[in-house]
Amino acid sequence: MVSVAASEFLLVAAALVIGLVFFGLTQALIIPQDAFTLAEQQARTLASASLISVSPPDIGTNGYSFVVYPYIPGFNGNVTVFMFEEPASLLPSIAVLTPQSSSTPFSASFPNGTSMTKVTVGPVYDTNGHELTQSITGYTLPANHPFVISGTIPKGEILIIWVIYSTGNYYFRVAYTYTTG
Amino acid sequence: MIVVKAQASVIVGLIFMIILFSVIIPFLAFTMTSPSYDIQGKQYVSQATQARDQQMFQIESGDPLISYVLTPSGQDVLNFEFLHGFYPLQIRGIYYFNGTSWVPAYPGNLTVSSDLTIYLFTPSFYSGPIDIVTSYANQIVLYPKQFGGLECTNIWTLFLNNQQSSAYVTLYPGQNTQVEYIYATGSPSEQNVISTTTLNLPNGTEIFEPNTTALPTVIGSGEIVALPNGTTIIFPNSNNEVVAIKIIKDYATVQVNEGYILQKCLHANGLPLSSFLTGYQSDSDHIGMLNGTKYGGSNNPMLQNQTIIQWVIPDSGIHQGLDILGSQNYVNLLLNGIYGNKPYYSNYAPLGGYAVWTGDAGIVIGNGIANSPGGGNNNFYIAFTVQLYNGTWVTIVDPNPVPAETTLNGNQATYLMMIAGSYDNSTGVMSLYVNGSLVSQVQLKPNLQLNNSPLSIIDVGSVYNGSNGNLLESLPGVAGDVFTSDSQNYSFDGALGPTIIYNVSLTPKAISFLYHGGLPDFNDIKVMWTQNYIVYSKILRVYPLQTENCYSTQQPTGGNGQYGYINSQMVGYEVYNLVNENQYDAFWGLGDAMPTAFTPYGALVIWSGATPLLFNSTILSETGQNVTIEYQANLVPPEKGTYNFSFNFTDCPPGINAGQVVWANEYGQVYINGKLVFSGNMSSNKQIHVLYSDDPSAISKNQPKFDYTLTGSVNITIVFTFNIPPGYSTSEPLGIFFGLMWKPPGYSSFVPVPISSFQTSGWFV
Repeated sequence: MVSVAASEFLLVAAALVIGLVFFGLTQALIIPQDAFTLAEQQARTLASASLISVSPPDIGTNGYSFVVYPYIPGFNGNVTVFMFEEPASLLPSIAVLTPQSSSTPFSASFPNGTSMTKVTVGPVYDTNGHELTQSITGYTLPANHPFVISGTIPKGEILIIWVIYSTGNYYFRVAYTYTTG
Repeated sequence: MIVVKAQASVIVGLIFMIILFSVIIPFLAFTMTSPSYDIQGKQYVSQATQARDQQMFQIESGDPLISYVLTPSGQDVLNFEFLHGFYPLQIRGIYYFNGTSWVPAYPGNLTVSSDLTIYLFTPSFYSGPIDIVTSYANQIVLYPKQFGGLECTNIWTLFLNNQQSSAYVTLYPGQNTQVEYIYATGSPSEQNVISTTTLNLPNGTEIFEPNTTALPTVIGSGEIVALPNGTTIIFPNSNNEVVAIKIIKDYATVQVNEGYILQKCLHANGLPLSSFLTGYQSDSDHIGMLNGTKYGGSNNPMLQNQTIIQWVIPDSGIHQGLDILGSQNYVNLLLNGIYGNKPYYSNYAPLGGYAVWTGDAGIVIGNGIANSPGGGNNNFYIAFTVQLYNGTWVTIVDPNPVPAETTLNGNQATYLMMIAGSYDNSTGVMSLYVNGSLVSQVQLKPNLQLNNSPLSIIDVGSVYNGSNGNLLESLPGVAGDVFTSDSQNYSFDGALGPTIIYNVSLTPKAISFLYHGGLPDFNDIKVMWTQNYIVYSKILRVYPLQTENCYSTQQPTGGNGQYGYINSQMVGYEVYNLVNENQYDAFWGLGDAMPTAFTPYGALVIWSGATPLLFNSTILSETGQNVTIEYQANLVPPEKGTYNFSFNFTDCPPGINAGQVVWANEYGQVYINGKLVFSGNMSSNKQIHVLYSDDPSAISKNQPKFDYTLTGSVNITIVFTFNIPPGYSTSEPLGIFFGLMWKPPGYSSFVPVPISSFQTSGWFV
């Protein structure tokens, strides 16, 4: 009988150890994934409600100038904006176009002339969790505030504008649009 | 066996617990604590999009109706008017473009919940776009309502920021590039590019392209842009005798450092676009209204407040110095000194060349002063005169005469000038402007009425056809249908561009705005004569005199009393009032000479309405370069219906001695709402070819016509291209013209589309 009890105890202990190991392993893998998934879903929520509008261009001594308005209803935090140029022929693939450079060729400022703060963010994911780019330097501003961008757009190219949302140390592109010169 | 069963149940239980704790509970915990983002997101986007679209729908429906108005005093005003109900509109910002960037036109946010008018913080006479950003991310771009449209050319101009700036063209041998060097004298030379060559471009270099979309609208610092085959680069000054370079095979590139290259675009007041200035080459040239007072009516607009605008080149053919004769022994008041800001009172109308006369005010140009034509060495004195209700004349003078610095048809002449005279009845302020600058201003007593006689005929070029030497206490004007010689004492000689007459006194800033191509306060324009948009009209022997348009390629014969004749039908050359073709149309006078249309020698002026564009006709001829002008506007019909249109090339403009004129090759396309409705061309031998029209007979007969049913305003785009045939000499007049005529419902013949039907007033998102 003793031997039976000892063996049952060993079995229980083994089962507990195995269970704890399984539990630990599962949690170690799932929790970070859960955090990313949570952030991704929050980003998807914002993305689903985000609108971005761009004025027609006007042409001045610094090239084109646009008024851009990132509209995210009910969101009071900051977003990062990044602009880059791509050939117009690639427009059908705009969702997966990514910048070739980590810096933006367009400058951004508030309409009253106040300059916007540059920030480096990354990696940047789309709202499906795919990594778009590693590290880019854009401009930060409060959501729902119009801002002005200016620069030149070479012939045959389009300007793509990203709005990037940060949550839980993850960065997601929640809105994008394009414009031409 | 019992032991084994017990162990098995324990193991199963433990496995179940492992699964429970490590998988199911975390999964449930995760799913229970995570909101359903997908569903919420879809709800949010649906609501946000709906709210945005609903807001735009309300604005499009007129709730509120937003209008952007440039007031006569030059202030920008936004009017919000709710037509149906009050749906509050929250505005996050209103911006204008200051030439470099979008900047606030209004401080802070704005909620519009009832009819509202706000004044914008924009520069005086700002007429560019306004961008309204709404709370739901709609962006509404408005332009102030104006007559005319936007014109963009196939010309780009280089602007360098400072002396350290540079720009250069690079020619590459790899593509077998060929270029043509065009010299100030001698024949052009073609050269193959055998090594990479860099050419520096000075500030002001112009780049002509094959079309208006060949390059980006703006080329910024650091960009490298390809210049296609057919590019012509014209230097502002010749460089080692090279005045231009043309790429005739393959391409080159251009790059700017600290500067930019900008496409030449401007607001155009309206059509026609033409190279014609109307020549007043004798004392007998004039245009005037038909005399309508025999059985009632008025021969002039009977204005109190008024502004007269006249583009002009006076020449030495003016046989009268500026004279302002006092009552006592006819003393010339100017002989004791010519002063600005001084009113000269007289009992007689000033003597000189009357460029324009409204019935109680006029712009007068004298060749010298006093009765000594040419005595001022062809210094031209400019004056503005009004006649008060008591018959007294008040004249102000620019004390600085304008010297003759060029020639016009063999006469000594000034360069093209814009002269403006204004009278404000309520304040008594009387002003004279030359090229947009105030040169003389006086203040009379307030509320001094002008002599509003309906008898005096509104006129251009002359105001009296009686005997020379007569001093006149009042001016009769000369009817446009009179076959007569005019008095040298009151006749102008030279060339005249557009005439604009307002029924208000424009401010100095408005005059400057106008001089730079704007058209301020367009609702107060009473008359706009471009003087080169002429049609033959039958003059019916019915009083008040009535006219009927007719079409002829024949030159009317003079003589036979007062009128010209074609096939025994009395006709005249009708000059339409392009703001209202039913009022104040003028006729060319038929006399010893008739007005001829030509371009001033040495520079090519292309008018678009009252906006001048200047070109170097010699270089255009030597390079054979195409000039393309794309004109865009909203075409606003007075009523719904099917309209017959006529695209006007320079097909036999009346009054031109065709033997003198070199005709350009002209090509035109018309698009309405993006759809091609007409395409055709006219070669320099005046042969018209219609390539496309919805009217098959127009194509087969080569008549430049098409039809369109207008149910409301439409976007109209006209692409007009011309080039100057080789061998052109600047001593020859050059004919370039396009206009648009229509036959509105109920009309039997074509009439010019009035400039009031070409408007820029629109918004887009």
